[in-house]
Amino acid sequence: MDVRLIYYDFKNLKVYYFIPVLIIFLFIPVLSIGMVKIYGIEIAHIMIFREAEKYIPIMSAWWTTFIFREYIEGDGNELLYCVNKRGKLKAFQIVFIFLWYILHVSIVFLVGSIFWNNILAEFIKTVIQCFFFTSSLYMLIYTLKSTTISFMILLIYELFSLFINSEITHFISIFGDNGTLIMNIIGSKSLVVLFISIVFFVIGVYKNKRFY
Amino acid sequence: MFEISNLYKSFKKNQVLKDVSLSFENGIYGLLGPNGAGKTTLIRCMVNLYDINKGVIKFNGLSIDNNDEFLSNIGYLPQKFGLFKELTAYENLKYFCILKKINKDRMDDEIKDCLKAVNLEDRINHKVSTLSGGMIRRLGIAQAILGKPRIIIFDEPTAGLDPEERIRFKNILTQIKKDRLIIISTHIVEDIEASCDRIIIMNDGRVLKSGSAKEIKSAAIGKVYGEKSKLKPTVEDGYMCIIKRI
Amino acid sequence: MSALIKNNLKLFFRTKYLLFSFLLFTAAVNAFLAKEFYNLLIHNDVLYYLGESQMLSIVYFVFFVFISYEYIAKSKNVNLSESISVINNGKFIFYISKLAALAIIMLIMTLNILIYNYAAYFFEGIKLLPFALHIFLNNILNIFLVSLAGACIGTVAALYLSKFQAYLLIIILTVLISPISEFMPYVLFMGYGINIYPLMDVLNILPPNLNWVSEALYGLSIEPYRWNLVIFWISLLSSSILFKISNKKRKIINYISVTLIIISVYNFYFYMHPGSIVKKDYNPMNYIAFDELYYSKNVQKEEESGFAISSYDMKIEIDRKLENSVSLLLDESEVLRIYKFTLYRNFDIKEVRDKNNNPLEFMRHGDYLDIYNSTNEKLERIQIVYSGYSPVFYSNSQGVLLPGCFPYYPVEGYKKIYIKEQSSYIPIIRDCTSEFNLYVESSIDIYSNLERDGDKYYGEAQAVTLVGGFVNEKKYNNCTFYGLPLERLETENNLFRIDDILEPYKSSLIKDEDISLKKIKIFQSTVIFSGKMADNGIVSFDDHIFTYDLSEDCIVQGFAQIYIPYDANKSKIKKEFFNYILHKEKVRKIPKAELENSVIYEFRKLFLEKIDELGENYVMEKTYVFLNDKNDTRDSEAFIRSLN
Repeated sequence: MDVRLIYYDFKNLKVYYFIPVLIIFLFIPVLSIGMVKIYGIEIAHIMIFREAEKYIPIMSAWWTTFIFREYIEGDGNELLYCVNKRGKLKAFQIVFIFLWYILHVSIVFLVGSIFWNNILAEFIKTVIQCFFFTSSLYMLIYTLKSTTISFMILLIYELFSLFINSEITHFISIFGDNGTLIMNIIGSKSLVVLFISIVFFVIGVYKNKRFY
Repeated sequence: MFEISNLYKSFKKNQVLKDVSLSFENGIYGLLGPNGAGKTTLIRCMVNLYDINKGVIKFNGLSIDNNDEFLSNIGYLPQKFGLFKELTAYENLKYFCILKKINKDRMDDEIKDCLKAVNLEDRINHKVSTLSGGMIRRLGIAQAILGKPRIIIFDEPTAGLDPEERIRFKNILTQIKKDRLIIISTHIVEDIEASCDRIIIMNDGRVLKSGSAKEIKSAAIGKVYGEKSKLKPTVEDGYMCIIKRI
Repeated sequence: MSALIKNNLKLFFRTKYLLFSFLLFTAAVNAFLAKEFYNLLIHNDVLYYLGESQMLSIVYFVFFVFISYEYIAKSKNVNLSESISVINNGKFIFYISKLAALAIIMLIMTLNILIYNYAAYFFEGIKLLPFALHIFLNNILNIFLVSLAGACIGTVAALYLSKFQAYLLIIILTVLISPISEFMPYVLFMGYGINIYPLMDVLNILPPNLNWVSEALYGLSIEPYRWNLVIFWISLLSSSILFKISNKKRKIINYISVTLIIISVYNFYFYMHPGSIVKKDYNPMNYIAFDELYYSKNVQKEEESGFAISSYDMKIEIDRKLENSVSLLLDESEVLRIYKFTLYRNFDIKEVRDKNNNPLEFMRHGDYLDIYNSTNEKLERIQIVYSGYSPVFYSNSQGVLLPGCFPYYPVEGYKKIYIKEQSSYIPIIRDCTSEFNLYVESSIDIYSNLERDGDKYYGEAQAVTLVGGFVNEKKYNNCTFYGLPLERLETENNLFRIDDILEPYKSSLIKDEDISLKKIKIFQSTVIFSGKMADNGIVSFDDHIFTYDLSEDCIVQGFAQIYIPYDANKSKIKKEFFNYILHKEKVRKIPKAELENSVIYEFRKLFLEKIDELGENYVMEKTYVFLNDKNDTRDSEAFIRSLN
């Protein structure tokens, strides 16, 4: 799999490429500084991560959604699957886009580590959440053959998990509770989420193989 | 050069291709058939997009599965083409060069040659979204001929094109047909009549007839205009008679 | 057309990804509603269940934005719209039939939620027809119309925009409209001083307040401004859709488009004038933040007026807000240059006139109103016309909560209204009575402490309380109770034996041995009232009491307080006083270690130490005298430390 292809995939997004970049490097910092101004640096810590959780994981699906619109619904998308047998599987693209996104996110967390402790646990949790969204999207786009509806399902999932107060939603939610994260919370919930994400990824690979 | 033997392909319980056997050498072949005949499915099997249920497809005596030589010698233009509309014509073709693993040093020349062949060299730096329907189709042809493949398959290449573009397409065919196998799947009989050496007629997943234009026409003699008529049946007449099993 | 709609429905359900997402969505919604219904068996709160079900409006909105986009864009992608455009009105009929199919699906899904809500309604045996209507209106507004607005957005995106532009628009709109971005304007305002609330509010078609405890008197928020806003969006977007899909030569469609634009402008105008609403969010103009921010500055005063108001004649109109034309009969001992009043600051004075109908000069400064007398005669009578609303004590066509202790009508003198340290309102209880004559015009039934004759209310009282909404009047052995049927009190049966409950305290706390229960009306405090009024919402007038519960403690305190003048400085000692009288054993049982170390019990520790040192009777007697003595302006700490 050639990385140059992914470069052109990104280039094809033109200005839409920059939306997650703006969210991560402009919107989240502006929000964070604002909250520090209101609450002070210590109390703002918890609130910043709670707010960031609403945006960062779902935005991890942005690039994949827009890029894979060509792969799933583009006119002549067969060409992208028949050139070589190994080329049918788009898992490499998915992983690369995910890692590229995480690289951006990690910069913000790195800056955050200057001000707060326990950033690593939050970062790991965020990475796992992003991977959940990415792998779910991969599975959904190849199952439903629609990038819009796949993104919609993820968005509805996030809204259910974060804003509809119910035992069911708490059970299925991958989002953390308030409070400072500690490693044993990571151990219990995040590992389960990671496992589920891997399962979704494998299903995505299976569906991808059978796309054509 | 390119052989299909006893090919079966089904989607769940729907048997789309039934015992298709064909043999191709260099030249232009037309693939004719009504909607649902299985033309696109056959083509997609030929370009290694679909896994086949039964039978074998061989290129130069070897199965096309995991056959790098075959993969580097196939070009394909699908029914619709319009990927990566925000890239320029050059970048679009570069994408396919990378996909086809064309040598980095050759890419630039290859792209320029292909664009020249399809008369798009003046649009090299224009975004695909700014090109007309016909130009986009020509760009599709350009990507199909990238890397000078020995087999080129066109699926409905002239559908939706105006007469000028269709003539242009025929001219391109004339330019590129030397030492190549070209397969054209289409509804437009007159395109096949003008360009193709051999015509394959399909219906209901089977190959009904394969032959030259003259052989196809002969299937309609005495059935359309009467044996003593001075009017000679066309390929279309022969096609209709074969399809309707007259 | 009906055949076309039927075909479109078939098409919808045959499209794999649409069917899959529809089924998944419906399954998730029903699982949620069923689980919440199971919880209803435990908490028995049907209003809470309604609130939970309305939370689904956000997911319905998102669902229909995306689904409608996909559904409409599909036909564009396969060039179908081009081919049908040659048929007479083909494009119009084609798209209208698709939208009609979507509307039918929306109706079915709205009905889904309605069924659960009505099942809860009948299961709980509410028997309150206005609430049954309330359930229906909530679902129409929050589920159906919100979904329709979502479908319009998706359709406009599909018709007007390219794929990427459409994706961007619908994702951004979804984020802005949903609670995902609810904190963002607060941070921008409080952190940077940038107020984007007016922009965000225009997009805010979802039901508010669902994460807060519901107000049982009011129900869920379905004020007219919400209908105006959602209809504005639907009309505006529909006119855009019609404009795009119609054959421009057809005049009737153009007229419909123009009509829709007029409707949208009309609704937008009324949306911009919402009046009294209950909106509990982070917006500094809404709910408690409005007063919290204002009273954080030193703006309050306390001054005597130099006159008394002997009667009030009021003509009150309650629609989107309160409009009042009040005539005050004054009792002045001398000619005054300035007549000082307190009237909540969000009521705008339109005019002030004297007894001869001549205009009088006045000045408004915050909660205070000064009326100037340029003559050398006593004014005797003042007429004031004003209108407005409070973001907390609502007065609109959905509900009315205007307690007499809140200055929604002019009260003599300057009074402090708010305790910023406690984030609560001071109950203003006049120490004199006035004659009240009210005429109240409202679309809902209004209950008051005054006597009632149709729309007229009259009587002599310290203050006039008006409540309206989900409230009913019950008589228990001559005691009148205004209860909230959506928040039934288990202790309501105590009203049958009020006499027995009060008997032990008649010598000590309840001065009037022959207290006439016929005279005292009891109002059940709402969540807002209990939460925002000092003393946990037990407020006592000489003719009516507000209480959040009808337990024996609350009843005793409510009646005992009638005789105790309210003083915010004395609230700590008052709390300990009643606690000790009513829960002596419990208070005494607090472990010594906890009493010593806990900050919460700091004052209680002091109080109990004095009781141990000086004797229970002595301390209680002194405290009671202190509470009743208006001239003793010491605060609770100063008093208790001074006891010896």
